Amino acid sequence: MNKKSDDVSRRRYQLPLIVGISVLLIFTLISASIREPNPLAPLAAMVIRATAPVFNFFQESAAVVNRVWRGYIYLVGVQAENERLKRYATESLSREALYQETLLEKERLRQLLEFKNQAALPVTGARIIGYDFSIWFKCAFLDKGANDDIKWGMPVLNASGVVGRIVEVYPDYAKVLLIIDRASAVDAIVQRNRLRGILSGVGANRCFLRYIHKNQDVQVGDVILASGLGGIYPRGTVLGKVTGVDKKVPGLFQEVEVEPAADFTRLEEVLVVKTVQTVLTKP
Amino acid sequence: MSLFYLLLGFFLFFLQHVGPFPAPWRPDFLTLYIVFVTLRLDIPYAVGLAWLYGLLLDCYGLAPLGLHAALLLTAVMGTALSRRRLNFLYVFPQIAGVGLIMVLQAAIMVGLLHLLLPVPVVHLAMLRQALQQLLTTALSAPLVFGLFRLLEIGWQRWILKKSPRPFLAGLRW
Repeated sequence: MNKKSDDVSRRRYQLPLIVGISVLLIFTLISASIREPNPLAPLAAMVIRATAPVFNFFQESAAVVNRVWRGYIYLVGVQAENERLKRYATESLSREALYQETLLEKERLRQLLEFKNQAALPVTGARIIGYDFSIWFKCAFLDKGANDDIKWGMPVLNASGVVGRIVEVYPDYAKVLLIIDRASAVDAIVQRNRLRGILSGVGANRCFLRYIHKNQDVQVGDVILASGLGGIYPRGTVLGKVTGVDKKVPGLFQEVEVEPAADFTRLEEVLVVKTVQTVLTKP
Repeated sequence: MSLFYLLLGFFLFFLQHVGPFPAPWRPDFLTLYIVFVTLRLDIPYAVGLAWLYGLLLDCYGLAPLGLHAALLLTAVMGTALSRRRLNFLYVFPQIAGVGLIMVLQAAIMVGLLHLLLPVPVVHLAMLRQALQQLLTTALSAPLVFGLFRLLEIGWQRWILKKSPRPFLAGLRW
């Protein structure tokens, strides 16, 4: 009887006790990790070093599934037409899918190379191995890190335009803050009339060009470029295109919505610009 | 605690980071997972898993350590306090329960972001996306829980080689 009542009272106090300890622990952890230098950074680095290879495995597996799936879709029509062709296609399924994947990859890399030549910047290629694409934060993980001379603050681009900048570097991996993250801000100009503003992310898959006065002329379709004044992104690289202008918002400035040039849902290969002189220093 | 829950969590964590559907149209699998394990396991185990995956999410994201753990622990507490609504028999209370947990999570996240981070802007577009993800997650909850349950049965039958309990038996109401 006593044991039973002990058990009941234990269970009654279990939840509030766990809540109390957890809240205390959460605030301790958060306050420690927003300090600079972050005393918990080595712990995070250790966790990433231990688990990041699994991302590579998942990426490879996803690529195989993707190849088989594409090959299958391709084969459905062939099967209906001709049994002999189906047999042949079944044999060459994985080969065909591999060719297709290689072709697509080649095209993407060609575009990157073309961009690299145009931009004439010292860059290194990297693959995205994972991303945090939640509502609240937007970042990506690269398969290159300090061992490949990747450093904090380096800008990351792709053939379409600016992707983001390196915010954390580990020996073999690096974390990129995407320009659509709410913590991102880029000094930008409107290509047509050289108006300056700050392009900042809002957490959703879009950005806003801020501090553009209401009497200044910005139109839908205007191309937004990096001004180079922030000291991080190379001058003239494309940031995005204006998709909406709202002058009815309260305040001095108009609200200019910008669709980023890079498609963040399809990022695979990117370029890290290696020798851009950053005027910022790591806090 | 079965190894199954640990492996399922790892799989969902990696799926969330390399999967093809970006937020907000992808359900928040880890929140649904935490709700599921809270219904299936004792509270201390669920809290442990919430800490584990919360800290992993923080390491792989830009959030300060502990932020996602706070969100997942909210899911554990919400589930523990409303087990009856979140049981696997009734679809609509389940959708409403998960929806409420997501609202609570969003409120905590917005509050903590305002308190702690140097950029205290939460744009309307972001809140709209949060609402979209809330709907996606809540509406898909019954389906995802069913899938988790099937995986659990498969694990018992094929890996542990023992006959699983009936589909709806053995749950805490």
